[in-house]
Amino acid sequence: MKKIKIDFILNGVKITDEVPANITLSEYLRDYLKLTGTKEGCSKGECGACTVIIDDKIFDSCLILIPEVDGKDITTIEGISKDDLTPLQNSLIEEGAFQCGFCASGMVMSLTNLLSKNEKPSLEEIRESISGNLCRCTGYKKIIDAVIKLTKAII
Amino acid sequence: MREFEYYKVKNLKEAINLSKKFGKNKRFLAGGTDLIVRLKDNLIKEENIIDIKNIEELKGIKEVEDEIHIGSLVTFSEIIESDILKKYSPLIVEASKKVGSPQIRNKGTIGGNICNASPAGDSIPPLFCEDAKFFLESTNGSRIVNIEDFFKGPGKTILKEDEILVKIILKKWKENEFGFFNKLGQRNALTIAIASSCIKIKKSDGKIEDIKISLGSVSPTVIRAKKVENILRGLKEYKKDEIIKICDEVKEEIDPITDVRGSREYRIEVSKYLVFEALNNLLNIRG
Amino acid sequence: MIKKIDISKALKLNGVVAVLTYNDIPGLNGFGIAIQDQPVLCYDKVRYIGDAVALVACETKELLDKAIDLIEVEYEPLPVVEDPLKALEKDSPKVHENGNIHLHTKIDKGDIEKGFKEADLIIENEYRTGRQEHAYLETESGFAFYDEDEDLLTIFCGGQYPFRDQIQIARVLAIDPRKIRIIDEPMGGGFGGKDEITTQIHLALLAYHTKRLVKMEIERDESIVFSWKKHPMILRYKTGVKKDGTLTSNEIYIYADTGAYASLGGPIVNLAVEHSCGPYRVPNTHIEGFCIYTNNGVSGAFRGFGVNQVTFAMESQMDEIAEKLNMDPVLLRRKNILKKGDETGIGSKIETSIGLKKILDEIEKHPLYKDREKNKIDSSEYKKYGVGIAISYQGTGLGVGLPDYGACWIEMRRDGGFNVYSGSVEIGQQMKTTLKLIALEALKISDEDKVFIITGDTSITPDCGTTTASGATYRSRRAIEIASKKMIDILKKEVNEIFNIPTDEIKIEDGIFKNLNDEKITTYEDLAEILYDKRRLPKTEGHFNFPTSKTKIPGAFGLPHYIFSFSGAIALVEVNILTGKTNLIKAVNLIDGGRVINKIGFEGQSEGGIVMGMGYALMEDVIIKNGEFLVKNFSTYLIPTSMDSPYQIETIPIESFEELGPYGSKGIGETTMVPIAPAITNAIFNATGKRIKQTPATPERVFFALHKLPEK
Ligand SMILES: Cc1cc2nc3c(=O)[nH]c(=O)nc-3n(C[C@H](O)[C@H](O)[C@H](O)COP(=O)(O)OP(=O)(O)OC[C@H]3O[C@@H](n4cnc5c(N)ncnc54)[C@H](O)[C@@H]3O)c2cc1C
Ligand code: FES
Ligand code: FES
Repeated sequence: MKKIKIDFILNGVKITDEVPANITLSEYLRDYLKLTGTKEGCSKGECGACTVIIDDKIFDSCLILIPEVDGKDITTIEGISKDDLTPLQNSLIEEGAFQCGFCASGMVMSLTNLLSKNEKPSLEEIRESISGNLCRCTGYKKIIDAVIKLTKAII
Repeated sequence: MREFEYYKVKNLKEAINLSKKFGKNKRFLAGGTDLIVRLKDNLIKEENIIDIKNIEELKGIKEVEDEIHIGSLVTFSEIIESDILKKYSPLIVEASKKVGSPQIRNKGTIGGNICNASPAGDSIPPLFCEDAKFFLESTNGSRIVNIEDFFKGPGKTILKEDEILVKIILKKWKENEFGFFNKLGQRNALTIAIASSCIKIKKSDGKIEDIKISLGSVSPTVIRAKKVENILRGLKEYKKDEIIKICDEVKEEIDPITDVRGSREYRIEVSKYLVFEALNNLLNIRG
Repeated sequence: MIKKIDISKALKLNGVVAVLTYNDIPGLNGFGIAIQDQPVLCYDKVRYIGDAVALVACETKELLDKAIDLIEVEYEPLPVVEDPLKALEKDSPKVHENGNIHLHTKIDKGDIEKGFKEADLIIENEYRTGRQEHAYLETESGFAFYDEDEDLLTIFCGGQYPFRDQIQIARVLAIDPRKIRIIDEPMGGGFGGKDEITTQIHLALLAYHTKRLVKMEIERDESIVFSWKKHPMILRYKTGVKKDGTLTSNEIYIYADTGAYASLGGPIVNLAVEHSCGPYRVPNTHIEGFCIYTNNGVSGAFRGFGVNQVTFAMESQMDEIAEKLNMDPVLLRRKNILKKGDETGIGSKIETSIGLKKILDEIEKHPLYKDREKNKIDSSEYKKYGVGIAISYQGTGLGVGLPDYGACWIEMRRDGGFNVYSGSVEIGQQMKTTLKLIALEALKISDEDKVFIITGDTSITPDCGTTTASGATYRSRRAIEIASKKMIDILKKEVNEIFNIPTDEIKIEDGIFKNLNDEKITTYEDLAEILYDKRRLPKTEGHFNFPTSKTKIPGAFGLPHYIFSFSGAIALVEVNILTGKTNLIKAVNLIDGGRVINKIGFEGQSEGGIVMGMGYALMEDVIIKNGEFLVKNFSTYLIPTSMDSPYQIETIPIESFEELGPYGSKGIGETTMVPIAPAITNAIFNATGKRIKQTPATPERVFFALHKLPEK
């Protein structure tokens, strides 16, 4: 199998590499770059634990073949903020939004993306924005509440 | 994931020439939300993957006189956000909202949904109601086919080996047209339809002048319920019991399977109510 | 039946490091928490599709599939045992040589015939429950390595009881358990599913054989197939009741499908038996529980531990009784609830605190229940709304005769803070936060940075029992409390020696020692510095045995429990009567788990329990046909998404004080989920007049219960 050249931006850093085409972005992040903040819960697009932001949209990185990222601008949980946690992350912590935390990085990516487009999302918009992110421990309520508190949205 | 050779093509010509070269031994990669899952499940035998995502000719939603042309690479998210479609073809917008999750809608394309030819493909029932036409291109040139001639069975279409779906052509909606898309799933997001129904109605003087009904997940392909359409056409009075009886005729037109999402019996019985529910949203049905 | 295993081709493949079969197991080829009936690697028979036959280690992940394809196993097909009821028949093929009944528990109390004679109404039903998968978001995984110099095998893995894993591994490898170190965290969700061994033994075997670092990840499709499920049960209930609502008699048969191996099937069925009459006084009972082997995957520990199933059945019975007697469902329950000193369905006395009355009071005055008829008036023609309630109880701790203890070590640090070592593990239930809060309070300081909690490592923490049965917090809490008290005593003594103030005149407020006049003597920080110089930083230990009942029930190992948590739920559902699709719109969880220590954690457990209970009620089921899994990934095994889960969730703590615990708190992890499913199905009845007797109440089941549109 031919290796494929890829060239893309990851968390603000330019990456150039040659890789086999049959690995996914999530595998590349975790196994090649050791960026293990992105999780894999199903590998089939069903759980959203592997969510990343590419060019301002969210994607399941387990359903992206690595050659597809050529030329893209990708943000993972590691790149969401430089030093401190973001206000969203702080709000999630304050609310006690997560339990085991396995879904957390995917949730943070989806919600960050939502807030970047919509400063005052409605309850329905918040629910909708994480409808591709499964959480088994919580009832989603505290995750949603963290966003409501942060945006002071009136429900 | 199994090994394969990956090719990225820049234009339509390159895509069809390459696919001519590989014949059966290739797959196009659009959004990949079907293909990559199947690659992981080891269900793909073809050894060459042609990534068509960079082909400009397959992108965009355009108004062309009284038609709308949707490029096959248009994603569900683009459909949902399209002002043109919201105005002139809202059914496909409604159906696209029901697909998977935000992540899937950002990646999955309408072309992939059509060419994957699942009877549960959510974009397909509205396209049946719109009498959509598909613009196909191969090394032999281009052709336009009617949606009703396109699907041959689950996962089967009339696409030739080197043929690619370029765009979908719809007629703009007129003023007196209304529609409803109804998807029944086991849950409210990230769910494949147990069954779905889609209806487009043209009303004049309180009468059903024209009606198109399509159903998903209840036959080897999405189908039109023409018998039911024929009975309803021209109807003026909308009495509940009568309409349910008419909807019951849909049983004659479907041939569902049993799977983990629902039994054949359930799909047969619930189909009539899905059609009824859609009608109930469009007409003023009285008890 | 395995005829032949040929690994020679796989071994020849470049990049294959090891292929192990049963021949390579030095010790016992078996594991299981209760009995070791599950082979580590199969040698004679494969009893379910998730059984392991060979273990392969390769240099790269990509090579594994190829290597596995090269392993040739010749099987002779055996008949499949699928239906647990048929498995009980004499001529059924046997899953294990000793037959298909792993356990049969029978309990009689009073005289059921007399009870039925006294009854004015007898309700008889059969219920069935689904095969729920834990669906923890992180699948089982881990890594292991063997240090030859130290002769030490280290295994990192997400598990619930590192010390038991250690023993199970030692048996298989036939080595001294002290040569095995287990580090059991962090982990992405457990819910009981990681209580049994998952990857630990296989990792250990490979690391031991190859002397290399080995990593193992179970993919979702594999995880659903191989891992333990909630026992599907068939429940036959015959309940007698007087006109005034007094229960007289209960005849109950419980058939649990434990799958191919026992795991914790025995204790689970016993717990089901114990809780089968609900938190009610039933004078006459006959209860039989069967734990039955089949070839349907494996069942094991799961949040609720057998209580979900029987509560669904009993609370459905109660709902039907209320309807038939035309009696308010709260009133009916009030008549029968257990009070302190009453006997449970199996005849053991409840001697600890009971919050049931308070729970019913709260239900009764809650607007969702009180105004339930108003909610129905809002119903549209094809969408019906209904409100349902259910109450339940759940024994915490493992029960009589089972080792159940907690232990903790505390050491003072030089900076005046404390390291607290506990054997409990963080499995996503915010255990560490809770333990920290307990330690802060017990050690009389408020600065969170001053207490560091260390858990889940066999080599540096004490054995603290398993993190299950909702009792882990309780056990650890007691141990911490004891060790803290010792610590405080030592510190006071030191202050007494150094400052010459009698110990009973020293008090501690937020890390500051004060005399009776509220004057500062010294602080933890300063004292620690002094003690450090003297090389006398203190260390203490706390040990605690979980209180168990003094009575034993003959023939029912582990029964009865001593401390119980109680809960109630109110559910508002919307049923689409055209399609059968049901949505949970609002839910209220009322929980008596004693005093609430970690409010956020408490609500989190409750909200998670509601949504998991809703999944159990409405959509979750692993369907197995002829031994084959028809559901094996998240596209067919559906758990609730954010669009299915109600945002309107309320958690009401009912704090009945448990005087046995210094902090008056009991376990809640499980009981939060238990009443949800029956509250939902009772709400479906309230909405539609149709009772769902099989979970999950899928659109199809509800649809066929409704059959057709009501005639007008
Ligand atoms: C988690 C998840 C949830 C999903 N939920 C839904 C849902 O709710 N409803 C639904 O309908 N679907 C759903 N799907 C299926 C899938 O997302 C859709 O079918 C999607 O539209 C496929 O588009 P794609 O661009 O990703 O297709 P791809 O995977 O790229 O392609 C699919 C097939 O079509 C062929 N193909 C693609 N484009 C062309 C073209 N232009 N010409 C010729 N052949 C072509 C490919 O070779 C391939 O064989 C889901 C999938 C996942 C993973
Ligand atoms: S791991 Fe990508 S969606 Fe589950
Ligand atoms: S917190 Fe465990 S999956 Fe979300």
